[in-house]
Amino acid sequence: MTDSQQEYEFTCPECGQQFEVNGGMRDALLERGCPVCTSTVPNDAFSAAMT
Amino acid sequence: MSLDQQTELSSDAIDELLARHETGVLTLARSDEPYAIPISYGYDPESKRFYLRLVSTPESEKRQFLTSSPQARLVIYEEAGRTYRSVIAEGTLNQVDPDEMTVEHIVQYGDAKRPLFEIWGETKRNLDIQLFELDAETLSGREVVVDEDEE
Repeated sequence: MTDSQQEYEFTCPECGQQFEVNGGMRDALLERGCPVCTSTVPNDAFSAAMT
Repeated sequence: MSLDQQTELSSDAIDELLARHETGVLTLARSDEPYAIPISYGYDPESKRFYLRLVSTPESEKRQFLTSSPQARLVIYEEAGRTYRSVIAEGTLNQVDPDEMTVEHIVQYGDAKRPLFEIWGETKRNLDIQLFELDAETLSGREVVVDEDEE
């Protein structure tokens, strides 16, 4: 599990889609894949969000 | 062929049929011009909301029908022996902004894995993939059983 309050920048390595996610969304992306293109999401698709 | 029995599906039976399937036919219209396409969907029975993923290009016919939250119908059907069932959802199609994505969106779009992008002959990065929600304002289902002795 990840910190649900932590913000990340998600970038899909397949379709290039980017959006900010929290910890819960990060977990869901790792489990379910990219909602836009359906590709599997690896751990390195996330970086710390700029605040 | 005669119709032996035709009944309306209950709300639970509609939800069960929609859970059994992941593809249907989405129909849009512009003036008197119809447009129907096969789509994949995720479905949340609590909110009666469908989650759709549509692929288009700037010049595509599909794009022309997707402007400004159009009214749409979604048809899902199945055939099992002599029993035919169909569900029709009608409502407004709204585009989902990726910046407003939620955990629920990610889960529901994870359940809508098709279509296979390979058929487009393009890498995913070159495709314009848009996410939509269809809130079913009306949702109806029907079951028809065809008489065994008559064809």
